[in-house]
Amino acid sequence: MIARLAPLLPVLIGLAVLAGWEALVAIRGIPPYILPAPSRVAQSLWLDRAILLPALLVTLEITAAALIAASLAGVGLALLFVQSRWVERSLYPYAVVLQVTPVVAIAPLVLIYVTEPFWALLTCAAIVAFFPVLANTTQGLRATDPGLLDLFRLYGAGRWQQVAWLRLPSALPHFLGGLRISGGLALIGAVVAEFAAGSTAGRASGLAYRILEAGYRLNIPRMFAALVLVALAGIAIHLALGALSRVILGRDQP
Amino acid sequence: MLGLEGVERRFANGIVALRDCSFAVAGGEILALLGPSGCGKSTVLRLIAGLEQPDAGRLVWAAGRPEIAYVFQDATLMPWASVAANVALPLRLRGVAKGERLARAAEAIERVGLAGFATARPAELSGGMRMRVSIARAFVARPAVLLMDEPFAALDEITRLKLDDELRRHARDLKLTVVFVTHSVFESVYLADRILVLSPRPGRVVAEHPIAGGADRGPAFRAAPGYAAQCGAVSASLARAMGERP
Ligand SMILES: Nc1ncnc2c1ncn2[C@@H]1O[C@H](COP(=O)(O)OP(=O)(O)OP(=O)(O)O)[C@@H](O)[C@H]1O
Ligand SMILES: [Mg+2]
Repeated sequence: MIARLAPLLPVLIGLAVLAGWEALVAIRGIPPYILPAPSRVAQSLWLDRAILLPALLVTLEITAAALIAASLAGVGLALLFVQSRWVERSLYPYAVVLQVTPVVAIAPLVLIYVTEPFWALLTCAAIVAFFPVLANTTQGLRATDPGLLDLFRLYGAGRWQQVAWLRLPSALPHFLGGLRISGGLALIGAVVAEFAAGSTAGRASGLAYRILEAGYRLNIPRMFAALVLVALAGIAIHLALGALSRVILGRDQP
Repeated sequence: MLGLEGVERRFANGIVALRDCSFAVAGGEILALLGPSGCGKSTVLRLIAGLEQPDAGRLVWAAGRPEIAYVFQDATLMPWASVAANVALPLRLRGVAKGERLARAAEAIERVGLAGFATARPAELSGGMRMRVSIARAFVARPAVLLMDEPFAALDEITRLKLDDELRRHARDLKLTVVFVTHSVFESVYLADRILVLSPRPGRVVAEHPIAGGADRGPAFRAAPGYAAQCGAVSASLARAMGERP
């Protein structure tokens, strides 16, 4: 009974917080430009849909493109790493440097050299997202069963066959695990980079841009509405990637 | 069929696994390698398979290198692939066309008694069934030589005895030459036509036991007094090899 209610708990807590918030705003008479009530945010979501939905699409588009780019780069580099320890030793530190440098610090530079805003934001988001794919896929490629590697050698498999039929399938669960982490990071990267770009460096008009813009206009309900969309996008990406790995790996695997 | 002549194998870390290791393998025989842990038994199989090269001495095949199959201690299956795909792997790597591949895989699967499980995934099978898949995969490329490295060590006693019986039958049907490694004196006497005892590392052959008992073995062979006597003799020579007084 209690176990069956467990998935509902977060929903209940969310509803309780929203109700408390709504009541607080109503009782204290807080004006919407200080703290909008949830109902006011919902209203803004609906009324500003013509602005917010295209912005959501732009952000999702950048996130998806960045995730694909990060996957290709991460898997490609991981394949290079397992072909040669030397390549790994020479390049891995730079991958770590990219990973630990905050995207807000990189974004202004990227925006100087990549003039098209879409590509600039994509680059930033991909930089943020690619490390988990790289690290996990490398680990997965290396974790290939040594017995199977021997078997492939025994039957004269070429390098290409070894990679395509053995190493990549072995690494797939690791890759998908990395992808789930990267999905969230790509969204964060896309949003943060757009903040860093601000209104000055051309407008890609994603959700972050709309939050900034609404902020300048003191349209606080719309800021909240855009934030809600960012959060929903994050949840949707997380669930979608989880479903993807379940479909690919079959239901038994976690 | 095969001779090892003064073979030495030295690893990069300085460990000498084998030194002056010499023995011959006759066509069609079942040869067991018995020895203390770490004495280089697996290394012998890997050398025969061509997965490693000797650092001194040589391997001589009487009539060129035959088709060789290798069965590991674990089933070593691709978890993402079906039983049929796992069994057909050697043929796929050799570029055999799909139709023939699947037909021959089905034949091998049938031989090990897994007909009906062709589309199952390894995770859906028991340990014994997985080992049978591994054996079917070894048969599919029609090998002349079968190398087995403690193949049934991870299985329960009942399953192991059953697979031992089947292995002797398959080996005779398919005219296989078998070289297998085991830790079990009983298994080696039951399965082998001849047993070689290796010394501790660096390994070399220190004793040889031809096993009397003919080709047909079964529960009766195990119950016969000769079986216990031969087990005793092999145990004694293993103990001597390890430097103990029997
Ligand atoms: N690739 C390698 N690099 C370094 N040392 C190795 C390598 N492979 C094996 N050895 C060493 O060589 C020795 C013989 O190894 P091998 O696996 O042939 O022994 P084994 O007789 O099969 O042992 P076990 O009965 O435990 O399986 C061991 O001491 C092992 O540590
Ligand atoms: Mg071994």
